[in-house]
Amino acid sequence: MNIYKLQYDTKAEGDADLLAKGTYEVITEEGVTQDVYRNGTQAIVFLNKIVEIPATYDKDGKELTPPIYYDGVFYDLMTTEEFDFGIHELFPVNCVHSFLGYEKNAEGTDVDPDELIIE
Amino acid sequence: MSLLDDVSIVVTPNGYKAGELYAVIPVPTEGSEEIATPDFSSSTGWSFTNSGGSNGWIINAGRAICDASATTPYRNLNSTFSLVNGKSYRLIIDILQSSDNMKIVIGGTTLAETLPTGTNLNYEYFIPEAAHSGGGFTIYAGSSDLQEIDNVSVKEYTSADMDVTRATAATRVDEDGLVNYAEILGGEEVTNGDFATDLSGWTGQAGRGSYAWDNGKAKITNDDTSGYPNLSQSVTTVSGKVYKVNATVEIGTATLTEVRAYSGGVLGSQQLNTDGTIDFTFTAIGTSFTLHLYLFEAGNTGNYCFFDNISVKEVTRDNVPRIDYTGGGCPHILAEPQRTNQFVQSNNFNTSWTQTSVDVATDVITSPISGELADSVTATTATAQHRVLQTPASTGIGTFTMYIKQGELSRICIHFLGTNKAVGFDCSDNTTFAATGIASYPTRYAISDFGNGWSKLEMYDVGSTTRVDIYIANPTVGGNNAVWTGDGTSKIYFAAAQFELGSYATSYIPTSGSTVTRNQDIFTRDGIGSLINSTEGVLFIEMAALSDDLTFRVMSISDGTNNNTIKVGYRNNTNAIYVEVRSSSVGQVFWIYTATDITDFHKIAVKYKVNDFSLWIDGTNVLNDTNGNTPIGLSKLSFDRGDSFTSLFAKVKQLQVYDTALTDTQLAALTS
Repeated sequence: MNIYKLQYDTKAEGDADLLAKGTYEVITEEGVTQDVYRNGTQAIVFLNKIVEIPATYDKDGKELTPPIYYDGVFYDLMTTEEFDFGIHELFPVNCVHSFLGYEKNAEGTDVDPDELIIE
Repeated sequence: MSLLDDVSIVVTPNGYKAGELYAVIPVPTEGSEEIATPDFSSSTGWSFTNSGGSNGWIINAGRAICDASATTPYRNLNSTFSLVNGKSYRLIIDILQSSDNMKIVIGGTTLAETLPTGTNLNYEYFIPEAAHSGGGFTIYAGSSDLQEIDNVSVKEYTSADMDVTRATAATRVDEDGLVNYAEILGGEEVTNGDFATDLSGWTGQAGRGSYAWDNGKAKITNDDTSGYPNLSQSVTTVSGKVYKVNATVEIGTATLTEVRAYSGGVLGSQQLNTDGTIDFTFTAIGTSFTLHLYLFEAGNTGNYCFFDNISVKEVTRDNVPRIDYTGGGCPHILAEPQRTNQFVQSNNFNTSWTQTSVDVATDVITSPISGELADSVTATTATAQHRVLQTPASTGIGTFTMYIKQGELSRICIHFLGTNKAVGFDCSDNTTFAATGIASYPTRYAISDFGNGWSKLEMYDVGSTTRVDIYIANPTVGGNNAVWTGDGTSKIYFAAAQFELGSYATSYIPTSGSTVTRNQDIFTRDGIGSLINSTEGVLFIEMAALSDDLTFRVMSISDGTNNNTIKVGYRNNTNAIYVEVRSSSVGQVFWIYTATDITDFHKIAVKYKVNDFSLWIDGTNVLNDTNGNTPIGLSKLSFDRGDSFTSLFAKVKQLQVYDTALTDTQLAALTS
């Protein structure tokens, strides 16, 4: 299994690149549009923005300082196929998202399921 | 005549393995061996495009070899056997060594599936009817690498077992009513884990304590000040595989015990300070590890504890179909969409949760999550709001779920910020109440008994949620998430919090340090044209929708496309059960039946025959159509419309396909 960590400037750009690479297809059934995975795609997870510095709150739960985000938007792609995403592919060391049964920082090609944790 | 005389496929929540849900009918059958000389004891039945020595394949010493120096194209090993169009086969082959992916060619067409590389591999591959059009069986060795194979077997295979794909682990409610992973366990790796007659196979660490067999258990006694006496055993593993460790502990006079998997570092461990069971998993990093059973204390000479039922088994969780026992009684097959738990910490309320005027004690009580412990949350003596909160990693329209258990306190309020909706839940009697100060109730909310004193609550709102606050509510006044004074000791228990983007809750996704995604469940079986009569028959399913979320969700028998299909499911009409029959891309039957509640189980049967279609639901003939053709070439059963679109997300108790158009009496009986 292959897991790619991806970054794009906007969701429109990311969706377009993933669509162009054939990872999913957009179909319409009686006017209802649906994205369907194609060509070995197991999951596409849109992570949106990722927080770099969390918000802070006072004792009443009111936000004191807003969160600060990394630039762009992020995706995790799980697939049986290999792709070249070029500059959009990241290799983070402390991932904010994982797949159930895979270690937190699993990414790259030929990733095996890893330790399963319930805490 | 029994209905069973006409049924050709029956699928129920029954037997399964990773990647497969077994059908009850038909019983899988294999034909006779089709390969003339599977073991290469001679070349009978085999031929080579480029034969002999370095120029391609040879048969030598009971195996077939394609030499690395052979660089000619078309390095084909041909069998005299030809696969028959419309039939499925099972291929088994011993790959003694292969450094390039060999391929299967049938009738001149190369299959998409390639054989694996490696040494001494026993490879098994199902060749579905849809994957070939018949023709000679050939193994293509690639262009240059060394290939060596033996024991090539091809047999016709008839089965309706459904392929299950999810590629991630997933949880469900097990037969004990606990949230648990769907998993397959391997064989026992521990020697003498039941201590049947002695402590053989185990080594006690000298100088730390004494070790004795005691009526089928191992007794460890602390008799030295250096402490931490332990029994240990080296256990064989395969690197990268996940293993599950179980043990039974009697605490005796000890204060703490621990079971630890160790290999140059702690791979996994769990402690117990009471009688109970150990249950944890870890990933092997080598060919073995040492399993330690600790009396985990120093000093305290004379303290003792007991261990029993020690077990280590490989565990597989990806692609395992989920047999779910939610609500008790007969289980169902659970098919869910992809979802992500947007909380980075689902079950440890002392980490990643912002706390205000509460004390959180972790792992203090048995959890509704199998093998896990839950936290207590105590309201401090401060006159304040008593609260924990977490911001979902991705905010939006979503559903919150959580388990709570009554301690001295029983009432909480959940507040969705952003949408600013809140409601109170009381787990003493599983009722809800208004949250003072926030007049707006969320779109949907509920609390229900989950067993063992735990309650499960669910809350959803159509507005966008930016944060989830959990207040411990005033125990003596009506709905109140505002300021009150705790006593510093009264508490309530929390477990398994989840916030997922979506209009309904799905199964629990544990998280610990990151958000986590469970992939969609996919159920398919193609290549079963011999089991589905395209000219007449009945498709029957007993199922319940996960939600009336107004999306298209269907299952079908089809030709693998939406052109020839009989599909049953739900759609973008409230509580609609939807049936469509298409033949050669033309719609033949289109029915919408409005049920009282599609999240209840319904027995649905569709009879199809030229100019004779009928829909039966729960014993009643609800719709008919006397004009239409039947689909052509039905050969696939799947939880979608045939071409992987509009996947079915539902709870399925049974699924049957009949190869004749049943009578009204039979249909009434079938759906009653």
